[in-house]
Amino acid sequence: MQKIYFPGELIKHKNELQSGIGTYIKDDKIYASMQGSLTINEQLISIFPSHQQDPELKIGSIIIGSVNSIREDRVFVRILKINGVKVNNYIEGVLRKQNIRLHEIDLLEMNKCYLPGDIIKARMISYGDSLKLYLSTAEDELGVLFAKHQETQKLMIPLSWDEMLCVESGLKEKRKVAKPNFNQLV
Amino acid sequence: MQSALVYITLPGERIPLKSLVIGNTIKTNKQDVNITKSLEIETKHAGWFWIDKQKIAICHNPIYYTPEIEDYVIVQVTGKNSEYYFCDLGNGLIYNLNQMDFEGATKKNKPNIQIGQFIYARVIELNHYLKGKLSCINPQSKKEWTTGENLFRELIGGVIVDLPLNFVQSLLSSQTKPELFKEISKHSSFEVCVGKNGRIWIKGNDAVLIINLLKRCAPLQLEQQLNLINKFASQFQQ
Repeated sequence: MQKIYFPGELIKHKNELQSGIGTYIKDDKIYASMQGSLTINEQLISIFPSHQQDPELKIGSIIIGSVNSIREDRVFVRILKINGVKVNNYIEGVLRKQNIRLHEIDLLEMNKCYLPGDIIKARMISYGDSLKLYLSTAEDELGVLFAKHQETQKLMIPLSWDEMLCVESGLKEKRKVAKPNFNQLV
Repeated sequence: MQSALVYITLPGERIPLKSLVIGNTIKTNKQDVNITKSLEIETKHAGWFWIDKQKIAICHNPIYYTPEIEDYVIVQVTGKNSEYYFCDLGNGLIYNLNQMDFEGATKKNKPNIQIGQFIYARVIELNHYLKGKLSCINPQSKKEWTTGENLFRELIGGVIVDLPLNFVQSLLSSQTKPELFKEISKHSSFEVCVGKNGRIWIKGNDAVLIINLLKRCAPLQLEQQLNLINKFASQFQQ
């Protein structure tokens, strides 16, 4: 079995060797910065990671997430998929009140837009300053995809830009709904 | 069906939901009624079954107060923010009161209420996941908060007591006339404020005696209450 290196562990003294992916140089020595096994390729030392890395995040990528909690002026979202690729770690994003929709931002009521437990589709707009990313749903095709009715606890499907319909009981609730893609049905 | 149903229930009865739903949105009182997986309403208490355009509930003697919009309540301040007061309704819920929500208040001229004081306010908004909202603005009169004559204000002095909910709500309903307080006012003068969450505030020289009489009056009928007050007529100071 090959030896597994952990972040911060010393690999070798630098003797005309170059550092590749997953390593860094400090005081003429090469250290590892990722968890993985060693690969040497023509004087290039790199580390092959032992678990899957997250998909690449760029500004403007589409994100599917679930709502953790809400406040008066912002929504906290846990990110599940980036551009269709599943995410293995725990990443959070923040959706602010001015980014939810384009018109009538002052008259917005949070319990008529998003509630905890909803699954939403959003777009990333900036990396932010701390561990959280900033998201936005200010388009027709972004918003709530699936949700649970509060009283009957059953699945709801979209009815209009503003309302969702509970399938089994016929009751309605208000959310900010995403426009479904009609071209795929034909 | 437009009017309210009159129907007595026992705990554990099941009624299918589709025969009852009026319109497309319902709200059920979680203390009284469950909704099962097969979409039936299951009752939890014995009492009068109440169905309305706005909610489904059961009228019985509840322990905890469930708030509704346009209720007048007595709340206690438990915390302060730069923008809000955090007020305690008495049943485990904490509601927000905006610091500028007094008549004629500006940033430099607003009341300064300490933690632990009591306020008489009305309920504006309800929410399950966020805190609800209160307000001290009276839509029917325009008196400023500095005069102290507004209906919704801070309660200074006096004594506050917690009483059973059915007694306090029968004092406030429009069907019974306030004969109890009229009988007390023949013997002494006082100031009273009744909140729908089961709290009463009384100010005057005989406040402690009146509160002990009210505690004894709660389980009695109206005639017995008036007899009890007349027995103690000589004990009032004013």
